Amino acid sequence: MMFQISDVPRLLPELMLAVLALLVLGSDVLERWADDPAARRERGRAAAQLTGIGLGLIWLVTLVQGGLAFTIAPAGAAGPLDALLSLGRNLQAGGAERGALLGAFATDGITVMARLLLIGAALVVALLAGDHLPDAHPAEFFTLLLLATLGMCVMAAAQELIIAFVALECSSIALYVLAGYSARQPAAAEAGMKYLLFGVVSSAVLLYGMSLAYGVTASIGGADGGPPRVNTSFAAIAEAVRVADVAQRGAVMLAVTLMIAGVAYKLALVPFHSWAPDVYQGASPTVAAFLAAASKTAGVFLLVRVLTAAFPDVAGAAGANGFTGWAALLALLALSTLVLGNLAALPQDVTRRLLAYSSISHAGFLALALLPLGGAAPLRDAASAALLYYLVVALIGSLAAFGALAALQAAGVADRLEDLAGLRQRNPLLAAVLTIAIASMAGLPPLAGFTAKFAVFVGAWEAGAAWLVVIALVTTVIALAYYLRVLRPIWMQPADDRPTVSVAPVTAVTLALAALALIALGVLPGPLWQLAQAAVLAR
Amino acid sequence: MVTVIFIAIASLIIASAVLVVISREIVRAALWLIATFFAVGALYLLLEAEFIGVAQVLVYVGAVSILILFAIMLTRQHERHEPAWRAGPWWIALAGVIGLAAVLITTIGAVPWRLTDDDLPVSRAPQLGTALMREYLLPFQLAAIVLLVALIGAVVIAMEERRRRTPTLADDIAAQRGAADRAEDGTP
Repeated sequence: MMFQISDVPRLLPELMLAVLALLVLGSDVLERWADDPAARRERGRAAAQLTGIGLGLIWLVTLVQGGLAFTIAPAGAAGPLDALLSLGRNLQAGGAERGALLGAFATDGITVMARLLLIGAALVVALLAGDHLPDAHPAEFFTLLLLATLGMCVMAAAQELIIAFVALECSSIALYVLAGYSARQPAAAEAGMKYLLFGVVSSAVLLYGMSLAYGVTASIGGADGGPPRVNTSFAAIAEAVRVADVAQRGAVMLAVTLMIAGVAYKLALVPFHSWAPDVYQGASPTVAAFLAAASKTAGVFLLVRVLTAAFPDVAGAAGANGFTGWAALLALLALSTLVLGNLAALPQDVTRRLLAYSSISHAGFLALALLPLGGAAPLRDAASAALLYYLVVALIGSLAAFGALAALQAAGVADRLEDLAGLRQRNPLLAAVLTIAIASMAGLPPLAGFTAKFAVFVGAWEAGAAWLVVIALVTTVIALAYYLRVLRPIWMQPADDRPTVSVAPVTAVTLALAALALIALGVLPGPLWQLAQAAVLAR
Repeated sequence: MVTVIFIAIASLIIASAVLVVISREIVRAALWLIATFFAVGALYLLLEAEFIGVAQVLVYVGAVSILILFAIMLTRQHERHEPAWRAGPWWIALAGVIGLAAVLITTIGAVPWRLTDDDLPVSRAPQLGTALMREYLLPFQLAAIVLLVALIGAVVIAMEERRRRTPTLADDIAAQRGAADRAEDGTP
């Protein structure tokens, strides 16, 4: 098994991200360095624009190369667009091979979907950050953003323990720095420190689980009665788990538990959530948007990879036909997250803290969506598609909500709920974006959140976890209470003499597009649903 | 014989690791951490993983711990801060640790681990290199990017640090004098 030169196109988006990161970092030297604010802003803008343009290009390349949405027809008569078309054709030909690269890096439909989501999230965050530049080191900010995205993309494609861990660290270390980026503000420094300490502990727990999984694999004879495969690939682990005896299964379950706990920290599932509100509140709002949207999505993809590729034989069930395996673990996590996350959000007065708790409760829905992935093929595929659908919608929703908060903060609006009073008069666009994002998070029918929640509920119900679906429905109703607490000052309270809020044009367009996407995906769920199904089936 | 050596090394690891956690003085904790790293290196040698053993000593004992000591000396403020958080009752932590240890020991102890492998050659460094260049090429390359991220992060944090004004010893003495003067005057 060796890396061939023809394998390079399969890594194209990741390679492009690395090159773009170096380009952003290097081109910063060529800018005008001066101490006046105008020069500093100019320097930051340049880095943001380069990042935005580059990420847009990479997103397009990923979309064309993945071939999920469309395939370019073979060469026909020469036309005006022929050069572009054959470029696309070559891209698709390079990405077509499906087996995992070096047994470590899958380039299947789920990877393509993950790349589209994560690079898209990074693009939105870069566009928003162009109007809310950090106090210092703007180029390094965008470089770290790009490298974190790179780590997340690799994480979502991992088929092997070591690359999964290295990719997780790549994104985590970048995110620790990003969370504490404006270290001159005590809240940001505290956020960075908290995120670092919790993240390091979770990495250690994850690593312990991984080493146990590896040790068990190396101790169990091969499926054909031969010697054990001393290998860290998920396929080898799955093969070993299949023939494990009872004692070895115990160690395997311990490994799975530790690995789920390690990733649950990143997802902020209760009881591993205590860092999330402080970090989301203390970090700069664009970073909070990136954490809530991309970091969570990447963690879910890592769980999907680990659980379905390495441990399908200890999936178990969480319903009428038994309460075993990792499905039961996820069910417990989903239960505690849905109940505690939603209840803890009720008394919050600070908008960003409230959204942080709402983001925690969304992680509960994600755990619920992961539940059926251990089942039989048709159910599992439908549930995977539902999970992808939910991920897309949750990603856009949290980007829109946290992006609107970023715009509010840039305009000098304070962070409490009552400061939103009369936002419909002060800035109708932001009021509309916040309302649409929050209504979608709450799962109100015409919006995308409703379809996504519905798909997840159906998947979990068919997997036998009906009791959990009922509890989730109840918590959804509870969640309406605090979502309405955000909407009430925006629409019901008078603005009094609070000043109008102005939004930078790029931010306004980005947020408006995100809100429109939430409406469009809610009214016409078909195309995204087909895309998700194509991603699941393209193995 | 091997068991005796193992028990000696293992008790050294556990004892120094406990001392890392319970030392009040952070420099002492760092020194005990070095002892832990060293003993872990000895454990690798006992497992006949001589390359990892040497790398452990070079990287962790040699570089990482010196870095930790430098970091402590360069950033530590002259006054000792009491920790800002309150730890919960110690018996909860103890019960948690004992419960976790019980689960780990019973589960891991029940597994018949395969402890020896006769097929392996005496020196494993060439194998390691081949593996890094073949099946582990991607994580190996990604590790380079992780180092780049850490480097950029360190620069960002350290350069920020320089701009911020931290109180020096002179400032602190001046502040204390001021406080003492005010106390003499009888004004708050």
